[in-house]
Amino acid sequence: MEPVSLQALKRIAGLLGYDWTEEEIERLLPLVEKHLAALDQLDALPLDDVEPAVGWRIPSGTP
Amino acid sequence: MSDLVWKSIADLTRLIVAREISPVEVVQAYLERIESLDGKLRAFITVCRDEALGAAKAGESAVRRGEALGSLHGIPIALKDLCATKGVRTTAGSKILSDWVPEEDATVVARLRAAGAIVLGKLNMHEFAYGPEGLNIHFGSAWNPWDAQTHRIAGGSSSGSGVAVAAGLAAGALGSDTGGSIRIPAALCGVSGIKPTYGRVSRAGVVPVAWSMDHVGPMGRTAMDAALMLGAMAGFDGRDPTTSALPVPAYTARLTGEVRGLRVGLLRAFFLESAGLVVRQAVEQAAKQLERQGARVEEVELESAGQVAGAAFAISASEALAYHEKWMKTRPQDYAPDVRDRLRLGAFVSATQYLKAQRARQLIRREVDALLADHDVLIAPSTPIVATPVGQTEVMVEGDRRDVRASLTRLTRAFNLSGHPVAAVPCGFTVAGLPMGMQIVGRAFDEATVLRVADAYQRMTDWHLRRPPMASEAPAAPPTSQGVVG
Repeated sequence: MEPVSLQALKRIAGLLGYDWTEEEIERLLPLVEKHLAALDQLDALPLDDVEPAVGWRIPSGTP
Repeated sequence: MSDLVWKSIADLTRLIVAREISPVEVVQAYLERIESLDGKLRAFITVCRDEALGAAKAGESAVRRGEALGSLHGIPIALKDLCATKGVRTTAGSKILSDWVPEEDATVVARLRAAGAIVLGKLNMHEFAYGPEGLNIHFGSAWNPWDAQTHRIAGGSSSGSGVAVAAGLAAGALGSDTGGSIRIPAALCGVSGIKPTYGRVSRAGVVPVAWSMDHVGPMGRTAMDAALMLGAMAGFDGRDPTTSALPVPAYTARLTGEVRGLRVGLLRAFFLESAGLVVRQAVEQAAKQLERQGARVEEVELESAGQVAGAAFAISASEALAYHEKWMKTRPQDYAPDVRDRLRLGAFVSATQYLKAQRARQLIRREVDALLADHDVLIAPSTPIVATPVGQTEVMVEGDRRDVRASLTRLTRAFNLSGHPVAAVPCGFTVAGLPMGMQIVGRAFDEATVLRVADAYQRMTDWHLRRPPMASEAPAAPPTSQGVVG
């Protein structure tokens, strides 16, 4: 995983319309790194032929 | 104080129908106990005293007139304060919604009222249900009633629900569970509950955390009480397009006490292995007890368990920030710092990462389905740790230093991703008298088997019958750093 920089986080937050201070973003940095590392672990799964679970197995219709 | 508050919902229903006690007596007994203890326990955000007494009197009249009575007639319950209640403020434990008075009930609330339940009030919770400790700076943090001396976390986010049921302040309660928020407080407070299958219970009128992970369910002192409440709440709802049209079984009729021949998978790797020795031994003992009653227990493994945290984070954080986006831009100062920081993390999950997490979720769901193709239920600890003191952020488990927050959700989130039904029951106590909990996971829409195993286990044990030491002599909760709203 590429190291995450404060500048990158500030840029992303700004693009999304959030005006967070350097101090606020600095506090988030270790949490972002931790969670992105957890997300990287998803690459260990065999996801090639797996579609996202954006639907659910709800039987359709009304009773 | 009246012993009525310790009767099960099943017993109270029987006594009310037989006219041996009146709903007014029962509601008054609970209101007196709330008055006496809740200044310290802080389970409630709002107590609906007049409305509850009014409903109890109407319920008493209905009994006297011989009207047909609902399955929960005259039963005093309380609601996690993210369930909308017509005419009663619904705060979601937040400053932002501290003055919101909904114009209609959430579907689950309307159904419980229709079954005759009486709402005592609205329960404390982690702000916007976004935290597993159950802390709240706006209304004061609920006090775990199992330790009268030290202010310990109740577990969250449904902290008030766990405390109210454990301390005899409500016969049953509603909770919600996005990453374990029914099962964690059930474990830490020594009560029972069930996170139903996703789609079994309507979420309409319930303030969301993450739409695809949220589940609403009952908490009570016994699996039987949870079954009684679930039966009244469950089923298709036109207001929630994710609800299933499958018929709702008569759950209580399925509680036969019989587990002979049932195939039970014991989740050892990742689950039992994460738990402290005492928790591990308690769940192993529970497995042996089920085995002695004729169940066939074998160890199983959820191979993708190590990937659950990443997938659950990406989905929950993205969906939660999407819901809160407007307030996070206009009123960020009105969130508790911990909740605000966690919501901000959602900004750093890309759409492709979100979809990767949803693909992982599909795989995890299939894997749980596969385990349940060969087993009727799976069992595991609910939490690897017991209730910690408020403010403690790390805990030692078997010589390892662990983060309290991450530990609390470590064993529960897999089944929010997979959507399977999970009951939580107390399965023992530490030498210090703190409760431990066990999860019982079942096939999709098979809450009946999950509850059957939970009830059968409670017929073999008495953990669920213990009462917490917290009584009127308990010290008052300390003031919160930012004062108390409302």
